[in-house]
Amino acid sequence: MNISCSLGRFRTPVAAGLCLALVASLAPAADELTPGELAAIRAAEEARIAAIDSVYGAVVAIYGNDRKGGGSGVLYDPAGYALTNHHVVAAAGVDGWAGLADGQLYRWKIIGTDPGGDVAIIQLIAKEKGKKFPIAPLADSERVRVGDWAMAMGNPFVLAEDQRPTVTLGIVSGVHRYQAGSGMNQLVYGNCIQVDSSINPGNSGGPLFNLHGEVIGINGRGSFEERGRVNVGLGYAISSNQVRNFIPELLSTKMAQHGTLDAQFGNRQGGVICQSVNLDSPAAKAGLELSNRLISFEGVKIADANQFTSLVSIYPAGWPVTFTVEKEGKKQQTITVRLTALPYEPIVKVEQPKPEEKKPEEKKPEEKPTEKPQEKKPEEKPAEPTAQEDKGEERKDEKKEDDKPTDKPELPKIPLPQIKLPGQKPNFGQAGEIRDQKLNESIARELASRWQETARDAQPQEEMALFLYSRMYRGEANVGPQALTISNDGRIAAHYMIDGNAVHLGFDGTVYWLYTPEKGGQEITAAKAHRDPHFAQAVALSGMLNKDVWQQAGKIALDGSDKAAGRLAYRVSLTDAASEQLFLWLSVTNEQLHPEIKVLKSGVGVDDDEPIPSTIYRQWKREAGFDLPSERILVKKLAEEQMLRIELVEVQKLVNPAPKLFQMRKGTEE
Amino acid sequence: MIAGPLIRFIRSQFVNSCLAIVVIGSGFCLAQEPTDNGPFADAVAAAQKRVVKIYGATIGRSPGYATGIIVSPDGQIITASGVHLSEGNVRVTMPDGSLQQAEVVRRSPSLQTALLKVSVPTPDFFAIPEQPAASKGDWVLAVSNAFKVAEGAEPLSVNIGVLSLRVRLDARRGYNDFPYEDDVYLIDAITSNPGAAGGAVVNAQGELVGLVGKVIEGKTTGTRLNYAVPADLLQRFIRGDEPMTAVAETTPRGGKGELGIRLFALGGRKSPAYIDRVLPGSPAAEAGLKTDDLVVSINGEVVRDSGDFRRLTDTLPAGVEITLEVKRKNDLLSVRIKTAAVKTP
Repeated sequence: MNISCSLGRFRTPVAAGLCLALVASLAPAADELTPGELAAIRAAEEARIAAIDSVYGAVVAIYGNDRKGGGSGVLYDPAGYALTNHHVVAAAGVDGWAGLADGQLYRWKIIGTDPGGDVAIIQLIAKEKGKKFPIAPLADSERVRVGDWAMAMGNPFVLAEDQRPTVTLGIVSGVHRYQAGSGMNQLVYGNCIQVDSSINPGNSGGPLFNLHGEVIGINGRGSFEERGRVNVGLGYAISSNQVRNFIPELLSTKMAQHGTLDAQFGNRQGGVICQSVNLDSPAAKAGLELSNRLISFEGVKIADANQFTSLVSIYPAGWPVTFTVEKEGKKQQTITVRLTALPYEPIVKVEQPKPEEKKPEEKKPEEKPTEKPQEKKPEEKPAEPTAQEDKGEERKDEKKEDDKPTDKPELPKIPLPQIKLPGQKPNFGQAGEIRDQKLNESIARELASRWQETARDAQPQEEMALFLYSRMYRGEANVGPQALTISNDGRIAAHYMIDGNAVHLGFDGTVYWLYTPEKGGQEITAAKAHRDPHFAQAVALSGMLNKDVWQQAGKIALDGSDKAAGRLAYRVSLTDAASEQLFLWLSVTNEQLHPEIKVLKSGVGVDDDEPIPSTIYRQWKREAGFDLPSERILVKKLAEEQMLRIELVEVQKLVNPAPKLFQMRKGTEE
Repeated sequence: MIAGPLIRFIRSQFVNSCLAIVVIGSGFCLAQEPTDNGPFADAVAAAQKRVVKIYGATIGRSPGYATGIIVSPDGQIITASGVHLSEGNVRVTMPDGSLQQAEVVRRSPSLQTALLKVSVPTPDFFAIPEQPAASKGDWVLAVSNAFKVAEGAEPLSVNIGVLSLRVRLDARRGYNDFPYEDDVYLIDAITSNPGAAGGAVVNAQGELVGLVGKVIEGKTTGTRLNYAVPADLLQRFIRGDEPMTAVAETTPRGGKGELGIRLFALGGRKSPAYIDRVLPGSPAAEAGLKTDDLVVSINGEVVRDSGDFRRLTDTLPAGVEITLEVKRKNDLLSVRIKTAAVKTP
């Protein structure tokens, strides 16, 4: 008699009931399940099926334009943004067809890709305007434990004729795994999740779920070394936390790059010791030296050099990191710097051409030193991965058609089918650079307007302004008041007094002005006004009142991923006519990691030692129909050292505000 | 007896955490408990503290690394035997990441296991349970260093499966290559990967069920068996009181006469009469019979399975000539064989 049933293999609650009833009838009385226990088991089964149902529609089958081959993906945003692997789009191209569980095929186009971490974002194009795609939420992958259930969904072996995804159940076999990449800095799986859920060719790019139907990773590869390209019980998924870190970068239409400290660490004398460091790197300039011992990195204690390598690989280039090293004499130093970019192609040091005939303008010898470092830059430009490298990876991970490559006669000897590469290399742009400015701007506006929509009850119909009165504190000491007046047509006035020194700035709709009791009034440039953090606060907040968010800015762009106030952010730049920028950092999620866009920070600089203070916004509360930060913190430098705390005291809504509120004061009287 | 562990498991791991919530009416008990993503994390964590990574010599295609389990507080470790133990330089990475030199104390040819010893105390070890820790249908977790994914103090890989059955394994494919002769647990977790041999197979409470066995791969199909050496056999091996030479009981031995044919046999069941191996120098070898030939008739009588083969060959005296028909791939071959006298050891 076969009663070898087990909980995890029940297909339906009915089957579960039948099987358990059988078990119960054979068991001694003391071992019988009570009706309550049976109900619990059924409920758990129902919960799992419900979890699958809730995300079933968000799983994408991805095909190229020829509708052959393919991989998987998962929609994470109702606007049609879906996550997949870089190696899927590298094979499929910059656009193609995508199948959903509704049985429909949609067009998709590439948004951005990350060859380094094997992640890409594509956008599915809705057939009717305003369609909201079903989505799956991204979980906190740091909470995943070995032994947790893990469900992989996708289109293995491209077998879903009706586009409905396949579900395979297993457990998390390992966390914080490191799987080395191929090519130069490409397809590295750092800090990734290892599972025994069946991952087969075609699963690439598909989601790995926990039992709540939250995405904990993007499946991308398996250990296929020995037995052909089928599941052998070891699959690897890129952690959802790494994926999330790259979402702003990918939405900016970049070919994303990963970050590095530009220093090598090794295990020595029971510690993780700096073995080599590029003296030009920000880390070295900030104080990192050879033989320094790495104590912690981004809040994680470092016990092993591999652990550090794995940890750093989940961050994009330019990401601010804080780490602590121990120097000679047990002295500790904490350093905050931006990571530099890992190139995808070797940086070849081409010798500077020596012109035989000296041009007249080169006679000035003092120009040379300033020229040299600039000229080196273009050589660092790595191109997209070559087809050859893609092919190498596909052999490992991706579904392949049995086409014989035409260019490489020696390859057919490998007894594995080869993937068909598109006729032309897909153009993913240049490493680290925005590929499509127009698309980038439209995505930046879309994100900003999502903040605007959620931050106000309704779009103001009449001419109006908000008057925000605040008190400023240095530590516990009250140092003075601040008053901001922001109108929905872009006019602004900012008044503040710190330690008895009064400053007034404004924008009356045509000119920016500055007034101080000592110097009187003067017209200033927009850039100079933005360099005053109080004025910048008014600009940032005025975005929610505008008809079109930040409508007075000349150009809006999404710079990519950044960290602000300790959190992942979309960095948006507003550029004025003189190419001066005001940066706004928008949150990607709230503290619970649910998607939520709010202004996190504003400022004019992004350098490690930026001297002009930035502002952090927090504790948002709805007042007078608008989300307003109860607290703003003036901070300096990348480490965000706190300078002043600004506490919102009073909010007034002004209808048809008087024009003189925004105009420069005449004369020098206070 | 089968239902017992399953229900105990359900009670201990599954129902208790959900029951209260279910009773008050929520169908989504899974979504509300801290242990909501499965009941295995504690068992895995306990097992991880008792499993080690083993590194040794590499010869040919052998991986040169394996897994082992700690079975005593004074540093005894059991692993699968293999060439990685042959050079005398066996390194063991302990659960805390420290590296130790190990000596090979003893090997078991019939279980294909080896007992190692490291010279550090090992307070966390697997106690071999008195009763089997799992029965047919129970969840089992395999904790091993398959593909050398983990290094240093990194935790090992964990695969989940169901214990399918306990069965006698006599698949001596390539005779000297895999002479395992005893019971095994067949499991449906994928464990037949390089480096996984010697890993722990535990139940959902983290108790030892068995040891991941060495990779056995079918010569023609490439299929592999996922199995574990049962804990009670390991206990016998640790104590050192296993029989010196295991006797193959399910292999037909030919009565007074001997053909030198060993059939593929699995658990004493009647299976098609495929030849598993041909004894060197035997009448069958001289007649040119080969591994994977299917015996279809003897002296004109149809052989449907291994039972028929046994019935027709067990009573043969020495020195008689028989006609044997075998199917080899798509060919039907007929051979004449004269039985030899059985050699008594």
